[in-house]
Amino acid sequence: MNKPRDIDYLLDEVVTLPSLPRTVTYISQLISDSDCSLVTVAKAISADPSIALKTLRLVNSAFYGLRQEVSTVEHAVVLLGMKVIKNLVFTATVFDTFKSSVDTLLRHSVSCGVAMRVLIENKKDVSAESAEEAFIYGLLHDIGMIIFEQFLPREYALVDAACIARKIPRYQAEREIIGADHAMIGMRLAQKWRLPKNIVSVIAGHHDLEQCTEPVMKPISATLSVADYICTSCALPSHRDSVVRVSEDAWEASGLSGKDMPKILNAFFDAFPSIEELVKLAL
Amino acid sequence: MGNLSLLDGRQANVVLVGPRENPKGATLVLPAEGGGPVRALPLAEGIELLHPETVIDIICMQERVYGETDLESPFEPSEPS
Repeated sequence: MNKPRDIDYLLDEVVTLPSLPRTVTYISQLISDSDCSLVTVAKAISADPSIALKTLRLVNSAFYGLRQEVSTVEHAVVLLGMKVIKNLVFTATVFDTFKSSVDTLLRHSVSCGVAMRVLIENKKDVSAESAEEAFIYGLLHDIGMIIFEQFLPREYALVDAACIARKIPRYQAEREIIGADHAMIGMRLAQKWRLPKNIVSVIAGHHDLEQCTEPVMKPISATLSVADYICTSCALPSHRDSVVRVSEDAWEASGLSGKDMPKILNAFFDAFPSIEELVKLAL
Repeated sequence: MGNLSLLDGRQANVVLVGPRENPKGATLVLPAEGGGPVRALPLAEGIELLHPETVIDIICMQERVYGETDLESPFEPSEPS
């Protein structure tokens, strides 16, 4: 049996967290600069054909539901605005990261993104921007699993076996066998990518609210636990043996009740075609 | 569908008879109290007696049986991983 190691040892000796592509870092910097023009951002995206193509395909997908076809990056930037475009470019890049992963995890992550958007849109006084960000939270929450699959395949096979044999949540098996769970590794990756603190803390807290360091984000992190549960109940789990539990404090922090669920699930089922479209786009 | 626990600790049954669009498509059958008859309530009317996870499980089961989204059974992914 392997001896569990702590997360710092893993990151120093075993795992090399991938860097965010230079184009994405550059585009993020441009967008953060209030003097930057839409044309400059569009040019930066267009300079990377792979990201530009994927961004355009995302813009035209059912997920965004635009009434007109968008054929240039400039048009997309003008139509959607800087922040949405930043998320789009980021989504396109994350999809590339998922290429090394199993299809089940990609489908789960996209589903959680869509479920998060549905859950957030159900709340009162939510801006379009918040719903857009909600998709990113869902898409990224299990990204630590890809790191484990890539760098610790032998240990991760033991995690699979423990989940099946003992029917325990995956994060529990990861902590016991590897010494850290996918939320911790995902949080470190988000920090390395210099993602906003909100995203870092939501990823960190999605299985343990105490790990969500930004108090204002606890309801979102808790909502992500609910999205995870909904997707697993809909046969869209991260792994076929997944056992997902939502703690009572997460239910309370999410502010969601049973009465909300019929409407939320109706909207989620209606969004299934967009999940399939996004998964195909990512592959 | 089967047995479930209510938030107040009682056991009840849920019977699925139609799709989620049908208000009576899922019915809760509550145990008899004080020698009275059992009570049958549409899901929407008894929803506050249920934990949200139970509501999710019922609606997913209903969609699996009567829905048009081809929802698979849990733990059976479309492709082997």
